[in-house]
Amino acid sequence: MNAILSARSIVKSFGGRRWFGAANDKRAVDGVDLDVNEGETLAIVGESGSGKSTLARILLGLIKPTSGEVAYQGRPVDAFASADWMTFRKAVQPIFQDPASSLNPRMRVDTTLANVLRRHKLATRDRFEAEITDLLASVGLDAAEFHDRYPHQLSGGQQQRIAIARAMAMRPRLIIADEPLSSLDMSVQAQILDLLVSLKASRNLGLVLISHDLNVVDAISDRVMVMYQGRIVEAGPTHQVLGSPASDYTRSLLAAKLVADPHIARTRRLAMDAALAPAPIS
Amino acid sequence: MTTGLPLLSARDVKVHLRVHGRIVKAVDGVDLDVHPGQCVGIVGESGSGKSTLGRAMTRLLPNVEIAELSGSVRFGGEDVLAMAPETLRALRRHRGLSMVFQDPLSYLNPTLRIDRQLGEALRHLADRQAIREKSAELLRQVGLDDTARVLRLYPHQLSGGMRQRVLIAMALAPEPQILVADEPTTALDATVQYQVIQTLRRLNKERGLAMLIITHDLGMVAELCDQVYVMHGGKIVEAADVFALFDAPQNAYTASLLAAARRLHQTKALGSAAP
Repeated sequence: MNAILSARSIVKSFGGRRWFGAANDKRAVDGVDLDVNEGETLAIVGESGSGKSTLARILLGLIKPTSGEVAYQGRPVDAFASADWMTFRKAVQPIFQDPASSLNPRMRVDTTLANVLRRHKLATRDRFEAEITDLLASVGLDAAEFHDRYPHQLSGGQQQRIAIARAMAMRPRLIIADEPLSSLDMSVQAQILDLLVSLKASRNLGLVLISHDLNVVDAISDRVMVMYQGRIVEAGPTHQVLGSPASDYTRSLLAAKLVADPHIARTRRLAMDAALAPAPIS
Repeated sequence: MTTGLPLLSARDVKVHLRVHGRIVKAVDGVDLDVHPGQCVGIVGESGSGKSTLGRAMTRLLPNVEIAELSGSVRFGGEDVLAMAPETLRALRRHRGLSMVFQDPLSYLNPTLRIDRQLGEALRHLADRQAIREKSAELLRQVGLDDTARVLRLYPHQLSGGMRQRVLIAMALAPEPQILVADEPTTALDATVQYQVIQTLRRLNKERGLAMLIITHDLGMVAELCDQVYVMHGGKIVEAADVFALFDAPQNAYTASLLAAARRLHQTKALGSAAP
């Protein structure tokens, strides 16, 4: 299989000095290797501060790693000329957590999408309207109803659909989605999740999903990497990592996962209470 | 089922807000009971009115934008909505209502150490020694056992989960009969969320503290609550025992919420989806 995007020994440190001169480096990402293959969904799981969002930004080429190398189709991005970046920016598309802040509040939906089509020469002007209608349809929105809305006239789920439509306009090969569901209501999360699954399948898209939610990861990903304090503590096929976790950290994440079923929640808790009975939890 | 008089009882509560000149019926005729020792959940999506209801029941609504506030919220025989300011203060100060919110950092003073802030909630105690002892006891109740260290810290030195537990400790200082918690774990990581939920569960089950939990997370409801009210468009669309609600929802909206939750929790590897 061919890796679309790969990363080797990525390190990113922030900070430098404290007030009085002592060095105070914090390694947000500390020696991460990864490959994403065509059509594959790779989930990166971790809690806040684990470095997963920093890693996403490095993969997107938004920030440079302190050391290590990111390569797109085998070519290091460090050696990219500006034309290569143009190709890369089309092929690798981000979706962010908060759709409200990733859309221009003063721009209508159709303008937002038309700008992308124009900037990247994806369609001729006379095709814009048809193209926008198709894009909106692909994310489940009716163009007649939504084309002239501003972001504030959309719900959170609709905003996220527009952000996805904008990414899809580029006909990307890889989507890097940083917590794409976590600002949404549960019923909307389920809809957007289904949308991502169907887009991925119909277009052979690669997807890097950054998430803290094991339910989402389990529902959509082929492989999982568990990140803790900048390092990958466990990686492998999703069913293996979540089904029989090897590291204590992964186990603690699984134990903390809530289940929307009172029978299971309470049976599991009784078992845990029994296991923990001698020492109080702190 | 619980019998006897409810501790907190809302009847036909309406909160209509004025937003950009239009009237929004945020809460539109809600009945709700919390019995002593019970953990009650209000579930709904954003915009369902659940937070406004929680704020109305604790009389914490800002009164600038309210077009109509009616109905009654009875606590120990008195109507919270009609209470005189001094009675309301007394209710909050001792054996009454306490509240915990979503974002702990915005409810802590960044310039004061935790001991000062907890101490403020304990001003009724006799002397500094008593306040120190009670503060430590409250922190232990919420699972922060390293009390001497935590009391000397500033809010920015605490993790999110510790901050939320400090706020719960502060809410417990007046020895409330009921704790109202609005999305108490939404800002927290999964493992920390689980710790806070266990803290709340212990307070409910071991100390008999009644609770009203406002959340969008059916997983949290399944974990904690005895009785659940499902809210949609300002109205309660279904109220049921937690097991009955999850096993056999009577309302189409409730069923759709459960279906969405199960879609998200549909687990290939974890093997916990099937009932």
